[in-house]
Amino acid sequence: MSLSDALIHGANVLYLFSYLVRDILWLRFLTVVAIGILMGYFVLESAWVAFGWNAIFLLINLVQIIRLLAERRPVDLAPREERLYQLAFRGLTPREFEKLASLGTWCTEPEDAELVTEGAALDALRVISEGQAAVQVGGETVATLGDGHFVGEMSYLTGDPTSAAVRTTCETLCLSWERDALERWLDDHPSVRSSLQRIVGADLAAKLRRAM
Amino acid sequence: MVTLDEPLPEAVLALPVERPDGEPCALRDVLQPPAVLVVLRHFGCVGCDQQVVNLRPHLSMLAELGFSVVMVGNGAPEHARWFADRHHLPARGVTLVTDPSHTVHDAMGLVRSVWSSFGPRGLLGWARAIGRGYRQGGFLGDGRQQGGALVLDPRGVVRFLHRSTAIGHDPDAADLGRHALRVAAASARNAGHREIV
Repeated sequence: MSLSDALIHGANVLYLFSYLVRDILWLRFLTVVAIGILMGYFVLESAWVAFGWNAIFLLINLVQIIRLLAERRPVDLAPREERLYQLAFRGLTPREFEKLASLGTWCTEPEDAELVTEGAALDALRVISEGQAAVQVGGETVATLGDGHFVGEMSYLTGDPTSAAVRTTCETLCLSWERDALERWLDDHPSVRSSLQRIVGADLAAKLRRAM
Repeated sequence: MVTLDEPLPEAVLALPVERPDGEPCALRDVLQPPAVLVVLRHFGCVGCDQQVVNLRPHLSMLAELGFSVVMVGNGAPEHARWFADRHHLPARGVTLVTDPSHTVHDAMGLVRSVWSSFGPRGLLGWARAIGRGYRQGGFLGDGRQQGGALVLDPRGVVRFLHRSTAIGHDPDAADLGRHALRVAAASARNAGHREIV
């Protein structure tokens, strides 16, 4: 058997195995190796057009392999993210939450900081990670919000001005998302939008139950 | 005719439908605002299979927020029973009725044409749903009928209205969920729950 024959048979045996595997990463990996061998065959045969096309296929598969590996790497949430995930975002996958959290801004508010102004248009959605805040109507506290509670979700949902003010009662760690940026991102991630809706819906239902 | 931001007309609420056991009732008997009304095509439709599966994750949230969820299909009551069993609709808190004479479908202004089902968009929607693993269960009703959906606030006003124009052109479950959340939030505010900011 000539070297050319060995290369073409070797490449096709690898293609055959690539079609048998179900895991897309292994399929691409075997394909890349097969293409590499096939390109050796095209060099021997001076088939430069076929060599060029296969170089493109090789590049596409390598890029996709890098993307797949990046998607499969373990999610490594920071301790504060892990805590908030367990508190309020278990409806998302850890990777979805990692992306969502990276879109937001962590901020530590001092005691008596105004998170929400009564009657104002709200341009952000916040969630309390650690701390406490008082919901005040006309200066009177009507409810308290604690770890894992959303702040301003009704205004976020309706677009209406806020119905109350929210002030921290101790140093409070929050994660907040700017409304427009969050909406744009959710447009590109419909499954996260659905999950986030269910989380906000459950939070809203729980608050309504407490208020009754 | 059903119109966005208008109350669902009494004439529509009075329309006759049939429960899966064949018992006739009026739409108002099963549709208690706030509500989500999903109008299906027919009970064997692959697009409806997809639509129900997509809506499932939102059902517990809708129930927690006090929404009744009603689905109206078209076909014989035994087909409705089959569909309800297949998707475990009673256990999920969903009321399914059938509208064999298309009166609800017509009152909602929904599309009914061969082109909408078997034109290029319909066939593409069908192929996409099949590709996602959903199942075609035969023509258990009028195959030309398209579906739709609406969200009613507690006063019975239509706050979301979708009319499908082809197979697979279903209301996005996230869209339905968003409008239901808006209705719930606005209702809470109207009810004086100012503590929910």
